[in-house]
Amino acid sequence: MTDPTIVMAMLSAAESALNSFLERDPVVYKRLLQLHGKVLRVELTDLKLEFFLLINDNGIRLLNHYEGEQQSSLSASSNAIVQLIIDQDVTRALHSDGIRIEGNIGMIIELQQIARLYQFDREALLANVFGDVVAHKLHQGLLDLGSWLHNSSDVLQQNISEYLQEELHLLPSSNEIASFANDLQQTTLDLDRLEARVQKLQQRIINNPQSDQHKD
Amino acid sequence: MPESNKPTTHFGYKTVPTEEKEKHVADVFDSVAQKYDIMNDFLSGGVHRLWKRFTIEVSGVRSGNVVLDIAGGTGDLTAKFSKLVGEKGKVVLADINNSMLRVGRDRLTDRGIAGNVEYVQANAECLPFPDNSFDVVTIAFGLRNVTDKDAALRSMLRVLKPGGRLLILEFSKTSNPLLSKIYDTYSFNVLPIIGKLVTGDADSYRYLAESIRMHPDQETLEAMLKDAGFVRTSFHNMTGGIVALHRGIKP
Repeated sequence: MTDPTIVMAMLSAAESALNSFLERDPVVYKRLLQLHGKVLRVELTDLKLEFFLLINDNGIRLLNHYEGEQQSSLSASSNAIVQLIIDQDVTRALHSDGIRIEGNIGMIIELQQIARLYQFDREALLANVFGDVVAHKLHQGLLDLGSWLHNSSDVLQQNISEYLQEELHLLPSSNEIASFANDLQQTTLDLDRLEARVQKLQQRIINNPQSDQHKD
Repeated sequence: MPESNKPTTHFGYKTVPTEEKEKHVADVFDSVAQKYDIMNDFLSGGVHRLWKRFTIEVSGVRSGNVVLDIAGGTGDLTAKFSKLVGEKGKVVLADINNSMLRVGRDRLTDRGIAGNVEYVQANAECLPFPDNSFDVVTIAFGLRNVTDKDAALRSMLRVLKPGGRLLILEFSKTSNPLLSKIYDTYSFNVLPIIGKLVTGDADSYRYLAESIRMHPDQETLEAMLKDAGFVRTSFHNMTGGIVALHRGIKP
């Protein structure tokens, strides 16, 4: 068993992070409170870690030790859980291999929907530090910078491929590749036909060696 | 334990007359009370919060419960319990030391924790409460300072309701030799120096290190719980056994 101190540190960090995210999204928080008092047991099979997720007035509590009643239980690898959270089709994700569910499945689906609903408000996060006006400008600036970087990388990639293909002729252009691929396919087909023809002729020789000799 | 029957007992590595240990311990805590919280964070690197968090989970305290937090000191556990028991429940913060109790009361009141918390100056060996009055009794980092531990355990059993649980969070023995070595070096060399620098009192922190070594190990304490009359006793080692959480149920 993992030392409780390590598990406590992990759960305590995760709990604070989740609750501080929740504080920033009142819509999600309100929806989460509809699950007030419910308990979900989560078992991460690959990490051999078991914990309990509890919804109460203060948001989410993550416990290593819980002896009360739990409404549902989810047992899966950490990968499968991440997949479950991000998958658009919750039913498909729930039926994937390695996920075991006991008890109330509705609670798990609701939690998955809530997690998907959550929108990370970066501007509000910045506003806490810099104030509304500066945060708006800063956020806008970051968005502009992001789209500039995105465009630049597209243009850069295009230029590099053009330079390598057209100027240095180190790499073939896509047209050349397509034409080469066509030729290659044509040759493969021709070869197949030729092979078939040869086999047919061979068969004829085996079946009727006498008639062929007479002809010679 | 034999020391409880003799006129002398241990105070760290020193042997003192039984009736004087209480006074010596009181001196230590009078000296460190004001900076107790800062020092806890400082000396344990904040890990004491994780130990206490685990204690609260294992306690299983729920809304409406009546909880006794013995040697509650500056009220870390009481603050959490107060939230968990809600308006219908009650938490009693008991400490033998007036300075610690005062610091704890001021701190909790300043944080708006009031209404379901009571403060009692009491000796763990003879708790001033009626039989069968608490759902949960906790004592975190307090038992090793108690002179007669067996009497204290019996007293805790008496005030617990049948089915109620006792939780003892206390320093214990590490089983890993390398960790023991590091831990000993830290306790006897680093700890008193930090104590001296922050509170100007190296002796109190030397006592802390010594009293931890004199405290019964996991198995002995569990046996003491059984002797006192607790059932379904168990313990969890934390941080390689530096700290252990013992649990016992009143039958």
